[in-house]
Amino acid sequence: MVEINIWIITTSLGAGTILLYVQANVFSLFLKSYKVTRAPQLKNITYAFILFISSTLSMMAINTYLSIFATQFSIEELLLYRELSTTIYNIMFALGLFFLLISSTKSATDSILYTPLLLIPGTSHLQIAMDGNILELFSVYGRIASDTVIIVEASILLALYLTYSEKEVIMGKLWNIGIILIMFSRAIDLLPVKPYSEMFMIFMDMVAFILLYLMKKEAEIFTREER
Amino acid sequence: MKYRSDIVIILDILDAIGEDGALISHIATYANMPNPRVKEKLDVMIENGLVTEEIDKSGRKIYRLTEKGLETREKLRETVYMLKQLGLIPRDSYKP
Repeated sequence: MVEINIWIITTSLGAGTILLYVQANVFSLFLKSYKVTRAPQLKNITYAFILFISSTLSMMAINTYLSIFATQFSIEELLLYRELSTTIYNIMFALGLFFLLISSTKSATDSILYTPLLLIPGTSHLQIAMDGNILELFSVYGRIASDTVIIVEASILLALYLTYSEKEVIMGKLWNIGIILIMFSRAIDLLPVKPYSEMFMIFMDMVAFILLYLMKKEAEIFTREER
Repeated sequence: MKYRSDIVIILDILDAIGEDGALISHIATYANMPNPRVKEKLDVMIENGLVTEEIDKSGRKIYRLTEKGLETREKLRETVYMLKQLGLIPRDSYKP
């Protein structure tokens, strides 16, 4: 069991490093554009990426700490802190997706403005957590709530993609697959297959962001060809 | 009227100015915006160093893109392309 935990911690660190590089690279484009335009839409996207990067950094920081001091923890503590790092990662990721959603121009006109209501189940679960062993309950209920919120948010993103995006380009379709992978990994995480579902989740997020990175590269080529 | 993102409006203005520079009336027609609103946006762009204004021989005010303006136009095109792919802005909101 200890080996599985250490193995998961180490692979999470590896995937986290790739994830961080890809997120930072895409973030830099939005940040540069935001600095000159100060557009509210880009401000929300910038916040979304700050949250994505912070989620990865927090997950990596806790896992680094755990991998260095693994021998000093009991198996229960190791399990708890590792799960906690994934829960924190998931909650920040859900908030990031929320900012991505409200950055949609469609949110200026219709019901996407009501998506904050999605966070209510999460808050109520946290209140339940306050009554018991805070860390353990936060880890369990926070995870269920954030998984559910991410599935709903990703479904809305998928709907936006189907309504708005250009179908003739390849990368848009791949991003579509990326969203489905994010949804699928959270659905798996709701099943009792931990800790493997955690690994799967981080790998799927990594794949989705790599697709986003490829889309950025496609955008560079497309703009260069236009010139 | 259809909602247009600020990024698309700014990009339309930068496109309207182009490599050769443009009069405010041309920019307003291209960006489909009233002159005073275009002037407002241009003032901010001048302040940010994206655009300069100069007077031609016949005394008309011509707006031109600076080096920073050209770079910004490129970055904004990439950004808008990404946002269209992500489904965060309508696919017909910007046509280069």
